[in-house]
Amino acid sequence: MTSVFKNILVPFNGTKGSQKAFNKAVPLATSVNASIFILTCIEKRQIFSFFKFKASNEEFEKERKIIEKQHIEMKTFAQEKGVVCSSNIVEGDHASSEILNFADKHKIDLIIMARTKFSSHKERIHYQSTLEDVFRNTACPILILV
Amino acid sequence: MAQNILVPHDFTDFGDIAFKKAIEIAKKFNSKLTLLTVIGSDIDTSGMNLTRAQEAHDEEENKAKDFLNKIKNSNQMENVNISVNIIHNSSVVDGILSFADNNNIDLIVIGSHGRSGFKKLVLGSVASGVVTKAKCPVLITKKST
Repeated sequence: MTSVFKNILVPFNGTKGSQKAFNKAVPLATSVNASIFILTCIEKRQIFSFFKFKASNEEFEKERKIIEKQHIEMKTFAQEKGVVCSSNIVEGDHASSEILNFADKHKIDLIIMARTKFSSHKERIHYQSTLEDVFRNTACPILILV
Repeated sequence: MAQNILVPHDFTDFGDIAFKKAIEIAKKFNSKLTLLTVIGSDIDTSGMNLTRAQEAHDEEENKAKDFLNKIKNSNQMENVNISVNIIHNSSVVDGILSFADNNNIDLIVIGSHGRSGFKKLVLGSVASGVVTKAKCPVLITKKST
């Protein structure tokens, strides 16, 4: 029998929601023998960013170090549970595009994200939520936690 | 991952894909699987008398029942506990969500049509409505998988 899921992507932006997604991914990966890819994108744009934004190279490197530290803790936790886990930090303009590109490139067969907030009507007109953008455009299954 | 999985089916390929993924999960985690069809207000009963309108609803329900039972029977070899349910609700999203709330569903697996552009603005999406309001995790499957 083929594995239910092989490569699980957890977009991580430091929020409780993304932590919840990771916490769900670890036991799931253990039971189906899957690998976890943690992805954090440091966004260049400022308004309604899903991930943290940083404009200058210096700030980007500073931010990267903080994120790397968080990723190491998460990787250690996953590895203790016997799960292969990789840390990925990218710089980009739109979180959803980076998530979708990463999923395509790494043959991801499950994305796990959490529904954390409801955007206001005005916000939704101008900026589609990252979650909505990902689940509408991804080619692979996406598990949305509440 | 889940004990009670709900798969809303709309008789399309998208429903089949969701069901296929749900079967894989149910087999792995020994979960109970429920196939659900919501008969909405899209049955055109205009110009019909009440008796005929009721007959049209019954016909639709029987058609749905046959379809879901066919899927259930064709998957008997998978050793998964599958049940079939048909409900009436003017809103498909509300029908799915109220069924999930009342039946201790802990995972909804639903296929997404992935409409984009103008169609998305006009039509919206059942999957989108379910994701927005669901009280349990939702797994959305796509056609290309």
